[in-house]
Amino acid sequence: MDSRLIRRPVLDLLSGRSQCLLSLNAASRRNESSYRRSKQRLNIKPDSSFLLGHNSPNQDHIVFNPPSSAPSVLHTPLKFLPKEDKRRQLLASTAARHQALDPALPPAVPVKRSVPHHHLSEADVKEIQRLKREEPDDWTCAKLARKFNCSTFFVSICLSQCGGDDSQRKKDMAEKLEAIRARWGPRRRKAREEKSKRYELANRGE
Amino acid sequence: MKRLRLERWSGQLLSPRTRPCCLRQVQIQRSLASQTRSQSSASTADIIHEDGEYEPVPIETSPPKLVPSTKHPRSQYASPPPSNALKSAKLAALHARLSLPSKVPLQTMARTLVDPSADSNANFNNASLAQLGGSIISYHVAEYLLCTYPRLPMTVLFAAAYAYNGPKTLQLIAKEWGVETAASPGSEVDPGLLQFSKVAPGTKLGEFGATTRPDSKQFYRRGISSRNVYDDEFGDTIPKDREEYEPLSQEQAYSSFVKAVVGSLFAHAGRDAAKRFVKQHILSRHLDISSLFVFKAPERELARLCKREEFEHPVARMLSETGRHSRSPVYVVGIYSGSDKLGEGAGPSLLEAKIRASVAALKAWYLYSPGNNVRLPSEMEAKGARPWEPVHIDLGEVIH
Repeated sequence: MDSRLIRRPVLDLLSGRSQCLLSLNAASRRNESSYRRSKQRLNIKPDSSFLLGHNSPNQDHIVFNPPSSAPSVLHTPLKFLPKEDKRRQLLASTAARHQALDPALPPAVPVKRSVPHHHLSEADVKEIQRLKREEPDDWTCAKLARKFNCSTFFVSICLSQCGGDDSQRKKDMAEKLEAIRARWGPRRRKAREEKSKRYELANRGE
Repeated sequence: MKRLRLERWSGQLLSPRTRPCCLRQVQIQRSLASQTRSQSSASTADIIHEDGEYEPVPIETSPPKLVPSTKHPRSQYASPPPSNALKSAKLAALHARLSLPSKVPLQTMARTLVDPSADSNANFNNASLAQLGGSIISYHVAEYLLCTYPRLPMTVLFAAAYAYNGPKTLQLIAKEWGVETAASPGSEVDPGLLQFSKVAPGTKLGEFGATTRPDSKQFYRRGISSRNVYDDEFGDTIPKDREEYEPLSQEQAYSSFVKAVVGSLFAHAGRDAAKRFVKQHILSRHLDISSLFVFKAPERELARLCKREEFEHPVARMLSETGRHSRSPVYVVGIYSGSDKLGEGAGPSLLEAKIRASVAALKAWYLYSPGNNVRLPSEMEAKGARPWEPVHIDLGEVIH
């Protein structure tokens, strides 16, 4: 968890109910001249699941066919329910039924693991630190990682204990990055800003 | 229609109008009187002649002479006397609008509207009632949150408590009730108006003043566990030694009024009435707790959680995708632990979809609730209550 506190009074959070009203923008407003057109556009053939077939019940019934959407976070998955919770049995029977219908799991998202893990010895770590201490400008993180076939993250952990003073280099690199940023045009800048905003929203799940 | 018999309403909170003659109080009253009654009192403005010579008027040592009129009757008190409460239409309307029980007298209602900054006499201001009511409100909010969402992290608990009974929300509630503020406190104002000394415009509302924390030198020590020990129920520092009669913001005055109403309800009508009032006016509001979360490294946190709870390591699996190699692809990724799906998220890149799925899984963990009608500890105070069954108590938030 982030230690930042989100401060807002409760009434600001009533957005759930007013969303519908807010989305009524000028384009979707109807008037006399556009009534027929918009009415026609709404005249869509219903989905086959709503139509009566030979196996649908004869008497009045309710069709429960919600649109596909992301599952609510308020529905706790079976695995997260505590042992004493009574909903456990109910959900377990449902899960077993689903499992029987479709036992195969979807394919895993491929994870890039280009470098091996946990293969360097104490001597290698000492060697990394020695190289950096002797020629700090020559042996950069990426170069060391390439030489020892490990990740740059691991090299940076090793070098944090190396004892050298890298404040000047950090300053130079920051200046270099700033110079590159200054060369960006408005489109690239906007795209970068939007990307960072998107990730911030993703971290809040919004 | 049943007629209200105001003269029958009486309460134990009413005390005879006797005041100790304190020097500071007299000074405040004098300054207030000279501010508010400048219309009728003699003008004491400095005189500046045409040639620019400045001639200060000698300051009188005696109090300014007040000329009592029918509109501004002369009074030695800083707040309206309790007898005025029975004549105020605003006050009676407020009492009826909140449908308070008739056990709460109008005089006490009038007292809840007087802030210590308006009347520093503790027998006639709402300081004690606000202290009582504030602790009742925060107790009910805390027990509701802790029993309904037993796994909430501390930051979210602070934020949720702030959303339910923070000063901003209490101000909104008081404004919804239709309570207005008096322009300036005094004994002649309508007792149905909120009376407090307003902060002069342009004053900086200092957040970095002295606090009750012992670590004044280590001001950067604001971790969550340190907030638990030293700070108030919202994780904010408690300001040190604020003088009661200092002017304060409208937000603070409104919030202490709402607290004082709950306090007076507790004092006159009892525990159940106060609890019902808090439930109806504060806990009944809709708060989307899932929007109060911020995660830093959700994937790692979920992996730590699965390790702690001895579940299988979480794996991201592709549920569906569209438009790969196009300008706007959409990936739907589910996070699985073994064969159980923990969360699901959609995003324009695989990484973002994975983050969203992990956040959904973590939120599902933290927002576990045993149900909406879970029993609260305060329900045990009722007569003939069933024996208490322990509520779910969680191990605590994930540390990574």
